[in-house]
Amino acid sequence: MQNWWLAGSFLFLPGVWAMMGWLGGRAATTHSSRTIYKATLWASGLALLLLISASVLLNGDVISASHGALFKFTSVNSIILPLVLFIAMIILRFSHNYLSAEACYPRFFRWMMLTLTAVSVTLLSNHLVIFWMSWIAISVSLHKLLTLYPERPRAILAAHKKFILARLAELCLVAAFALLYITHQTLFIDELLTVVGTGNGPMEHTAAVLIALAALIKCAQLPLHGWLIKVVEAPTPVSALLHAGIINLGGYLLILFSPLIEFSAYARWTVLVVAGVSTVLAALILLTRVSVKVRLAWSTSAQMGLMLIQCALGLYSLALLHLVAHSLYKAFAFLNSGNAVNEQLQQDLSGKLRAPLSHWLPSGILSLLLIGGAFTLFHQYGPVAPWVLLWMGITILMATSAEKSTAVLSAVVLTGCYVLLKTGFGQFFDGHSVTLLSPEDVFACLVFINMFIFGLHLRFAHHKAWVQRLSAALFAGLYLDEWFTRVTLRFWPVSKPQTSLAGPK
Amino acid sequence: MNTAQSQLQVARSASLQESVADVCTRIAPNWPLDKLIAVNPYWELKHQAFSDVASRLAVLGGIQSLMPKRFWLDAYQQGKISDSALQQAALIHGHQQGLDSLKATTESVAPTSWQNLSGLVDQYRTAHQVSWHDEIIQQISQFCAAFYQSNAILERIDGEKGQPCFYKSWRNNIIKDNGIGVLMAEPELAKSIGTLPESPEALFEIAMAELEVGESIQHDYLHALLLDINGWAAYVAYRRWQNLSDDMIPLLATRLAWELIIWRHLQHSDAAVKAAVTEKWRQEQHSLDDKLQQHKIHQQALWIWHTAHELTQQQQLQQQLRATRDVPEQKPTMQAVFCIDVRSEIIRRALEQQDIGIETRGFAGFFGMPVAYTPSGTQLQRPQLPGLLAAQIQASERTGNVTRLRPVKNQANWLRWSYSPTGSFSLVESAGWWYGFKLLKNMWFPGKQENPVSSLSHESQWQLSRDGETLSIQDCAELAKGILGAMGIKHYAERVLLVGHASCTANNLHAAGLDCGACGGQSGEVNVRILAQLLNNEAVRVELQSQGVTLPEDTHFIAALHNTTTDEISCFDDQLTQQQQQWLHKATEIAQLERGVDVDEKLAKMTPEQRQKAYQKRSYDWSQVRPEWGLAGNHSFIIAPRQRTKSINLKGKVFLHDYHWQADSDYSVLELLITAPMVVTNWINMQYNASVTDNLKWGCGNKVLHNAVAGNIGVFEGNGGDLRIGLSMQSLHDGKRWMHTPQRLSVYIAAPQDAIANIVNKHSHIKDLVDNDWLYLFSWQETKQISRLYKGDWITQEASH
Repeated sequence: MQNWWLAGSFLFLPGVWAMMGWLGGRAATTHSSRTIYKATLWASGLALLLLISASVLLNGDVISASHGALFKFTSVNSIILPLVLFIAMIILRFSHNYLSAEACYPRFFRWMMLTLTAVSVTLLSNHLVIFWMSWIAISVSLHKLLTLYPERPRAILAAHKKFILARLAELCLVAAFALLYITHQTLFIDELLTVVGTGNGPMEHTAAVLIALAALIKCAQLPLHGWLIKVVEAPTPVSALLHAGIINLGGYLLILFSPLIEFSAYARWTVLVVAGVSTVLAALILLTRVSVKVRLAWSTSAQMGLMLIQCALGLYSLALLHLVAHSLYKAFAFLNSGNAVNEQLQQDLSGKLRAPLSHWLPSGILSLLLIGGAFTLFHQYGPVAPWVLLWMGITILMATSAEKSTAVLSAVVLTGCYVLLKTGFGQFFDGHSVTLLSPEDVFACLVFINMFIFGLHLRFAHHKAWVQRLSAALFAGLYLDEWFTRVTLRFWPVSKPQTSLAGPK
Repeated sequence: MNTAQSQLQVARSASLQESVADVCTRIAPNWPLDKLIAVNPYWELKHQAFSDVASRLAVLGGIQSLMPKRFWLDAYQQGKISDSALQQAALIHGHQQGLDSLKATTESVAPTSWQNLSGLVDQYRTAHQVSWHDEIIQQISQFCAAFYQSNAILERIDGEKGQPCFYKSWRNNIIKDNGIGVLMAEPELAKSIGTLPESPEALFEIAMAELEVGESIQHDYLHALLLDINGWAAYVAYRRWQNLSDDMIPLLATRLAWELIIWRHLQHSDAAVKAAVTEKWRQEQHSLDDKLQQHKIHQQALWIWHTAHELTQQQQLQQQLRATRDVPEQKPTMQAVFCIDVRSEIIRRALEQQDIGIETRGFAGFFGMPVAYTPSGTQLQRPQLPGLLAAQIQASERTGNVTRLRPVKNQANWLRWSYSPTGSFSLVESAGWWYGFKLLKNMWFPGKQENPVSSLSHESQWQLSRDGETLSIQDCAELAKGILGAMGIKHYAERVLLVGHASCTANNLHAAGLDCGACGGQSGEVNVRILAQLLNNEAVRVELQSQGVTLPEDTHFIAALHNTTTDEISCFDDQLTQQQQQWLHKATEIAQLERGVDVDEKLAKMTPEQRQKAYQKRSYDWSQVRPEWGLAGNHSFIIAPRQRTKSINLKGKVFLHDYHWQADSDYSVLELLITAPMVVTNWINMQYNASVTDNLKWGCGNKVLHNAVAGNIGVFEGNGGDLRIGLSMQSLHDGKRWMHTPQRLSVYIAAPQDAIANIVNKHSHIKDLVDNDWLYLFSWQETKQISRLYKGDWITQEASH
């Protein structure tokens, strides 16, 4: 009984968000909505404190049912929950000025808070049923955020696409959960994770592959990526929430069920191949996009791909690092997308990019020395692929830098940061990654090398005929999304856009 | 028979070419985001009466040029329209049914608009299919962006002159694109695309014949097609305006090509629909004239309301102008020359209140300097003058600091890295955490976000050159002489402030739209700094003296900048006395209070210090979509000595240019004012009007959905669609009400009527503006009499009772 008080503080966060969402959606005046917004900011801060203290006191487990904890505060949560809170507070604060004069603001506020509530419940849940229900609640609430402007047919079509795929992911998930339950007779996630791999092989493999598929769909991997690109129709803060928050759920799912994924080579290879191909294609396609938000959306698809590759390689700590860092980066990039003109002016001021061959060789060698050194010193186990990627990334930075001194300095600093962070995040997980130069490792290396080579050709060898053909195909998005648009429309029509234009309000 | 037929064909072909060429001159340019200036979107149609243009555009593009009736009825109820004005307006527009029918709340339903062929075919597509119109706009729009983007994405096929050919490149791209057929669920579509003619000329001939477009409507049809892709057409018009390229005909050809594609496709895919569409298409062509008439009739009541509102407003201002008392001229202790911008009016009035010896003047904000700014060490050129003019002089700052470009270059590099495949991943993993701090800083501790080019211009020493040669002292003196002549200051004070202006906003794609339009959508800092340097230069002064212009020895010119977002004035010189600084400070306080009413209701309750902080915070806030109201509400332009308007409050809605006709013996200055600033104010005024009446076609929609296209070419609203031009809703509407009421500019000129009329008659484009109802032109005599010039006659304006 005495646990209930502490349990209450533990669930204060989702509770307060749900309440504020409900209140904010009803706020009739600017004044009351401002009050609610401020209260939300303070309550969120308080909730975080309560959460941390409660988890310390309760050693993680909260609200025990007869055999296990319904909710649990895991070490992963200790990173992800503060991140969610941080992003949430930034977006709330941003939207307050940005959207408050829009007629849809109360609706935005309500569904934003309810989305966050659902996210926090999902993260805390230790029970398959709660996890699945709140998982659904996230995408249902998000759907409301994507349809804030129902008069925009393109927005509605995009939301429909997302809706259909979200249901598909949920079906995968519920099937996987059912299989796991049948095999192990428990609904508690922590218990499940200690026994995975001991049951019926085919059933567990199937469950693992289904979870992998759910993660791939959630992370907008090709060929089911189209919705992510199209939903930049939504207001900027909604995009920020999606790209810095919701999209990560796929990665979180794999991290949470890492023992299962590690157990199943089928699941690993499914993720590795789909995410590998997606990463390369999305990273290349983004070079051919013409608008800033669409470019950012493709970039998210590519970044999520990398995160999933890392999961497939068993580098869960690195995947978690990627998740956090990408969230911060992408939240900023979206909210700051109004700065595109100044960014273009910076490009114009700095002149045409010149990266002659004579830059590439020394850059490649220098960065090889640098990263090779770091590898020798800090690499303890696991695949070489992430280091190869870093090597190529740093090579590009150095080769395209305007000044040598800056290039070397930034290469050293960035490599240092990378090593520090990688080691730091490594504390959260025991290493069960694939081994050095295992087939998975080699595959990932090949993915990165292809990306490097094709990327350079697209930027610096555009005059070649095959590069132009490739560029045109990439510009058309490889025709992947057109099919899905058709399928979506077949199931769910959108009223045609009006050619005669509506008058002013 | 054969010869007669071929002669007919030749004549037909000639008339088609003529129509194509003419239609392609009818789209007004739209400047890219980094040089965003206001443009009258009707500019290329000014040779026709506004009411004819309004009805034609309503038919051809569904474009609204007038507010709906309910808007005016609200205004009437709020007392913004007087009964007498309504009566007068009804008379002007030949309305005979009495005022009651006008005031009836029933809104007559707008008649249907013209449908292009693709629109007619769309009527046979279900909600389960993508509409042709949507896909056509998307396809052309994406292609345009890729074609004009600085780094090549698509293959550009060269035309005859070695320049990339728009049409050929487009055709090449669409033929290779297999996705459209898939998307539209029309697998055979590629066949129709593959047979597209290879040149625009051939396409026009073939398409018009195959689509059986009657000669009498071909012009309107082509115009409708171009309006369908108006956003990109406006960008193409900009490129033509700047002599970068002229792709208007190819752009029109691509739009027409789509009509042909659909038509041919229909032929071998669905005979039943083809037959039905053929019939509808014939009817559509047949009914065009009827539709025009219907729209004219529909718009008549709207015109009456629109005019009545303008008349009411004019009566009010004219009453004020009649009641002004001239403030006697006296030796000024300080002079400040401001831009004619409506935003200057409030701060000028506030400054004048400080001391009887303070004189303010209105002058074009680029201060007559025909310069382009090139930050030294870069290749960039930034025109600092109105879009109507071309820069003649290159200006660069003289600086010894070679490292100042380094941060910019590093940032540009970083950004490029962030988009490179592979690089972007390394960036996230090694430095992604840094963006957490950036988020925190921007949200809770924001600083000033400056345009990177402007940030290089805070230098006091400037170098001017023309065609690569440094300007001599004589050249400088000549330039200065012209400017001083136009400025027309009789008695110089010891301190003359040259006040340019700039806005201060963050994270704002349309920031340039709030900057000085006369400086080409840039901060006016460069212009005032250069002019101050010229006029303070001893050698220039000596040379000026030899040319008969004497500047008092103790007169010192001070470059200053008016921040229109916060109303602060910063001086780039320390030659002001304590008291003069105090005056400027006080003026800021007064202006901030006055403007606060529209900006944020909370501002009124604050202390001046709090208010100042609040304004500053607003201007740094990256989530602020309504940093200031810009030129919303502008309705008049007064060209007269300031003494004549000094005693009235013009509420920041009137452009003011100083002008003394007595000092302008050959009226050359007047001619300049009528042909340049007056046109600029018309552009601004009509941009605001048009963006309000039709924000979909003439405005750029909702800022929270904006998505920058190809660096700084423009914005999409959402993920695609046509390029959007004009002003955003957030610049015009506060969420509850419009901050600008559409009304045509009223220009008041204090000059002899003959002089005005002569200049108007001399310039056909000015005559068009005046006689085709694009603006009102009045003379304002010393006797306080106000007369309107219209179609060659002067109509005396009666004082209302």
